[in-house]
Formats: sequence, C-alpha cells, structure tokens
Amino acid sequence: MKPVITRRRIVITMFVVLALIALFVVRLVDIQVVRAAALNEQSSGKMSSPSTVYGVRGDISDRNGIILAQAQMRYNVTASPRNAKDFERTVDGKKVTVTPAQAASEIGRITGQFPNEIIDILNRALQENAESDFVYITKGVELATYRALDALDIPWLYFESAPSRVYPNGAVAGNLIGYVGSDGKPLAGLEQTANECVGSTDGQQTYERGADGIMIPGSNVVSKQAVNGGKLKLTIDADLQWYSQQVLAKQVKDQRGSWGIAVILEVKTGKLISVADYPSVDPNNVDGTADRFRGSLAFSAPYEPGSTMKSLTSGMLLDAGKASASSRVNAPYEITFPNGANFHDSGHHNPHLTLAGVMVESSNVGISKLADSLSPSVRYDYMTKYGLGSATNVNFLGESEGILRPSREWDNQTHYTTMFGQGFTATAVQMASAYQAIANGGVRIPVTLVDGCTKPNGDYVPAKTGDSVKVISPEAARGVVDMMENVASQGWLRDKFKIPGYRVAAKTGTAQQSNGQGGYSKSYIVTIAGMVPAGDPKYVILTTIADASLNSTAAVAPVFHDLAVQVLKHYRIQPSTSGASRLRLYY
Amino acid sequence: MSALLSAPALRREAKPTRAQAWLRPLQAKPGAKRRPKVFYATVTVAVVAAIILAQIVLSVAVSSGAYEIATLQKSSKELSRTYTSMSQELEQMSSPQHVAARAESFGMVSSNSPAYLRLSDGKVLGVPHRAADSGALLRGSHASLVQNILLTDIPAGSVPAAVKMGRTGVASTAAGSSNVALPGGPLQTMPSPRTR
Repeated sequence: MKPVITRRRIVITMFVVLALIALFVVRLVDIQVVRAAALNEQSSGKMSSPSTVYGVRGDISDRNGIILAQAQMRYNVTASPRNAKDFERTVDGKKVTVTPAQAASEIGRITGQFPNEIIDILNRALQENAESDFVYITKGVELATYRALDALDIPWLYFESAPSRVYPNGAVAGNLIGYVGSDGKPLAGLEQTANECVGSTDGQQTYERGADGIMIPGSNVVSKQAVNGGKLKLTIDADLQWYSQQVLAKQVKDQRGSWGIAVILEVKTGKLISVADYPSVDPNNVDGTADRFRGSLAFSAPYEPGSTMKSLTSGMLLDAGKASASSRVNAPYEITFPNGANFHDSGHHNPHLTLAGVMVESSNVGISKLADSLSPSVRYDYMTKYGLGSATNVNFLGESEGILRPSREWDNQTHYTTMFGQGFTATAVQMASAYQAIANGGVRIPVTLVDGCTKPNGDYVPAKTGDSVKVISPEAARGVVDMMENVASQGWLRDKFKIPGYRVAAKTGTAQQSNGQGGYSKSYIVTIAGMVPAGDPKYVILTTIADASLNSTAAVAPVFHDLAVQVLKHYRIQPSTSGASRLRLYY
Repeated sequence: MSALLSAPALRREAKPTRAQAWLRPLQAKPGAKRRPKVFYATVTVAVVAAIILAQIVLSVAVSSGAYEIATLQKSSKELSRTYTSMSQELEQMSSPQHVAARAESFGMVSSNSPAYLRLSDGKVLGVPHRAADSGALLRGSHASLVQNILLTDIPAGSVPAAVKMGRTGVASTAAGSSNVALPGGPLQTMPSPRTR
C-alpha cells in the first residue's frame, strides 16, 4: 500500500462525507427553518387537535343534600351535508347500501324528527353553500339518544358535547333556583346570583393524533386548566318545599286566584325552609311558565300586607308599654279622626274590645285608637327594625325592598293605615321575617336562603349572615304570640286552625290591593301568618293568595293549616297543649 | 481500553531500537492486534443492534400502551356517562312528585293528626286519628301540580321490580307474625327521656 493512494482515498472519502453532510444540512435548514411554518401548519392540522375540557358547573342542593340542579352533558347532532351520500354498511356479513333518505329515517326514529325534516336541513345547507360541511340536525339530545345515533355508524353524522343543566326535582324550588340558557349562561334566580360559587371555567388542551385518531403518547399539552364549580347548599328542605307548592297550587286553583305564596321560616335560625310560589316554574321547561312567574314573587312582589301588620303594631304597643293584651278600647265600626282620616272595620262586632279582642276581631279602628299613642317616627323606627323598607339579607335576584316612606311623608290617612298594613308595601319574605322576630322573643335574625358553598377543593364556606336586630322585648313578643294564639282559638276561623294536640298562633290579613290606577281594586290579597307551636314557636308560616274567589282569609286558611301540620310532622315536634293562652276579648 | 490491554506486551519488547519497536509488533504479532478488533466490532454492532431493538420494542410497547390507554379511557368515559345518567334517573325517580304519586297509588294518604307513642313509658302523645281520605294530595284534578317534565318519560303505572318485592315482603310479615319489628321512623327519632 502506497501512502499516496491511501491519502487520495482519504481525501475522496472525506469529500464524499462532507458533501453528504452539506446535503443534509441544506435539507435540514430547508425543512426546519425555510418551510418550517408551512409544514408545521400542515402537520398540526392533520395530527393535533385543540379541544375544550369542560369545567363542571356545581350542584345546587337542599339542606339535606338532595340535588336540585346538576350539570348534565348533552350532545348536539351535526352532519356534513356535502358528504351526505350513499354509504355501505355490513349487515349479517352482507354489504348493504344506505341512502341518505334511509339514514334520515333511521335518525328520525331516534330523535323524533320526520325524515323529511332532516333531509330539508341538509338540502337547505347545500343550497346556501354547496361545500357545506357543518349543520345541526338537532341540539341537546340525551345520552341514550346519542348512543343510539352513534351506533347507526353513519359516516356523515357527527356529535359535539353540549354541557347543560338538569333539575331532577322539576319545579320543586324552581322559582328560587332559576335556570341557565342553552349556552350554559345563568339567566335567573340562584343560578345567576350564586354563579360565583357554582360557576365553572372551561379549559383547553391540545394533543397529537396518529392516522387512526389515537393520541400519540406524551403529546398532550393542557394550555388552560378547567375549573369546576363549587356546590351550593340551600336552607330549603326539598320535601317541605314540594309539599308547600302542591298544597298552595291546589288551593290557588280551587280559589281561582291569580297567584299565591307560602313561606316557612325556622324561628331559631332565620333560615328559609320553604319558599313556594304559584305559578311555579320547572327549570327543565322554562317556556311552560309565563315570564312574570319565572322568578320568586315571595321576594320580588311587594304588596300592602293588610291586617297581618296588626301583630307588629301590637308588639310596638306592648314593647313601649303603651298597652297590654287587656287594654280596653271603644272601637265602633267606623271612625273619623280629628285629622280627617276616615275608615271602617271589615265587619260589625262588639265595640268594647281589649287589645286581644282588637286582634281577634281584626279591628282597624281599635288598633288605630290604641297605636295613636305612639308617634309616627317611633312607629317608623319599629317598622324598619322589623325589616320593612329594606331588602333582606338574601339579596335574591330582583328582590324588592317594598315601599316604606319616612313617617314625615305620611299623610293623614297613611298616619293610621300604616298601623293596619295599608299605605306601604312589603314582600312576603319581609313579613315572614318580621313574624320571626315576634316568634323569637323579639330578636329578628336576618333570613337566609343559602347555607353555604363547598369549594372545589372541599372547603365549606358558610354564607354570610347579617347581624340580629332586637326589635321588641321578649315579654312583648310573648304577649303578641299569646294574642295570636287567641286569634287561632277564638277567631272566626278557629275550626280551620285546629290541629289536635298542638297550639297554633296566627293572624289573618285581608288587604286591598292597588288597581294600578291609584286606587284599590275590588279583589283582595288574603294572608295568614303565624307560628307553631304557640308555646315555643319553632316555625313561622306565611301564606298568601291573591284574588281568591272567596275573597276572605278562609280561602288561604287550609294552606296555612296543612303546612303547619306538615312542618310539625316533618320535624317531629312533640305534641303539647299545656299552658294554652285564653285571653279576654271584650269588656 | 485497547491501549491499556496491550501496554504489558509493549513493555516486554522494550529492548530493540525505537524504529524496530514501532515496526515489530505489526509484523510479528498481527493476530494479537486483529482479534480484539473483530471482537470489539462485534460487541459494538451487537450493542447498537440491541439498542435499536430495545428502542423498537419500547416504542411498540409505548404506542400499544397508547392504544390500551385510549381504549380504557374511552370505556372509563362511557362508564362514567352511564353512571351519571343512571344516578340522574335515580334522582328523578326519588323526586317528591314521583314518590308521592307512587305512595298514593298504593293507597297511602297524608295524616292530618300527628300522634306519637313514647317508647319509654308507652304514653300516647298527640291525638291519634285515622287518616282521612281527604289527605290524598294528588287525587283527581289535583294530580301533581308541581311540574317535573323529566317524569313524563317515567310511566306512572310501571312499578319497578324492587318495589313489587318490597310490597309482598311487607304484606307477608304483617300477616305472618304480630311481632313486627318497628321500622326506622318517628318512634325511633322521637325525643324521649331515658328512664330506668
């Protein structure tokens, strides 16, 4: 071997190697730098697919964990019109051609659409755009439907996920819970106001797929983490809520009333156990209920409370030491006061009444003569302490404060009518809250509807509760409950209030309502508010029906009675009739 | 490595001149140099082959794992969908509207006169009274007034097998023996003093 030949060989080899390297470098630069963007785009379009990771919207449950609102995945059925052609399917080992018309009838049988309807959808899309690749066949189908459609294996039929909401108990607490739109956005009730708790955020991920659609290991990139919603717990008891709604609906229908409300409030905690509205809304079928009844009238529809106000006024009198249950007053049927105010009672009665008698006979004249001993500003202060004129702690969507004008703006008539519940307005929940103060020894605990929120990390955050307000003295409160017990046991509706084994306290109210033209209409809003058991009040119940055919509180008494029985049964309240109050009504 | 192994051989032949020493090992002991070359080449090729094979095996394993993962994830997804849909159906079935309708279809009515038997002393609290037929809430024109559109898919007349069994079970116990165990309910949860 000669060194020259060896060296030449080496040189040639080196040259070839270098040339090859140069070739590779050029190619590398070409691919990685020059055409990088275009190639990446081309490849990722084929291989990687960004997809939404859905955050799950949180549940809404009642106080016992019964689920009232829940996230549910539904599916939109889509099609590619331009690909909607004949395809082959293997049936029993034989190949069968399936035409779009046949496919459409198969789809229609599952979705409940007419085959023509589906063909029309495809044709219309093609008329607009001959290359149309996407059209909705139907939206929001349930899992079973989706699976049946998927099993058809129609190559031009596609599906997309559509997170939605389901309300397993239907209209139970529907007016409170509200609902979400088809795009998942909360539109009413607690769904909207408690969105901070239950709301979720969708995330996004990208991964690369092989030709067969399987994810390539290690290619998954989560660009945005999905955040699930928390769980909202209400103070509502779903069973009682249902019972209230059913009993209320039955009575409002029988009485051909236009609407009704029933509220049950836990005395020692201020928690709302049941807030029934009629008409009610089934959040699964919002369109089935008129627009104005889709919220909660109990929070948003203030009305002049009428004679149920007399319990509050009596509480003021007792607290201020201006009267006692046995205080006497000469209460004729009609009266004209020195300031010119003129009104009368709803019926004729023995005019020689005690304060207890004023309550039982529901005498406007009697309460006015007695409460005139309190100045309007003092009464106004009491009213605000009872919670009138300001929205409750619940802050329900569209909640009303009611209208309570400052006492200096009261005219001569209003000076007196505010004593028996006309000339100002309050919501049913505000009145129930005022009764809670009377039932709770004079201390008003702000009402709550939401118990708390369980965060996605498991922390339970109790809802903010307001500060308790001392409205009247415990003695005054007890005195009012005693008088209300006599309304139930000695009043004209005594038979309707009777619950064997229990003591009941109640006050009726037949309130005139505005006719919308500055006057009063001929039909009334009838209300009964009270508490059970009277000896140691545990539950406040307030029931209201508007425009009942009976036009008296007898129309609403059965609802009050049935709810009282139910709540006593439901919470296993021990029967007791001892110590029942029997006061002198006349002198 | 080869330098290390061949060093003693070099040292043994250290006596000749420098030029001889450079030439001699090449001519005198060519086998000693050639054998390690083949050996090491074989080892290198074998290692490379092993690495390539391992790489192939591993990547096949990983990607077949990917298929397995995909299959399992799909079945997990399907199962969780089934679970959710079943539990939602259960929730619909246990909605008060449905339970009340079923209870009334069995002839149960709501009592308006609650009464309790105190276990400690056998005292009857409240006024026991036969539940009146008027306690039926959902009868006649007042069938459920609290709408639940989800229940329209669940036929009111169909009684699930479990319920049927429960009914016969109750009936036979009541008929067969008078010593019926108290079911959980008002009596057990009733507040009563512990007396001895």
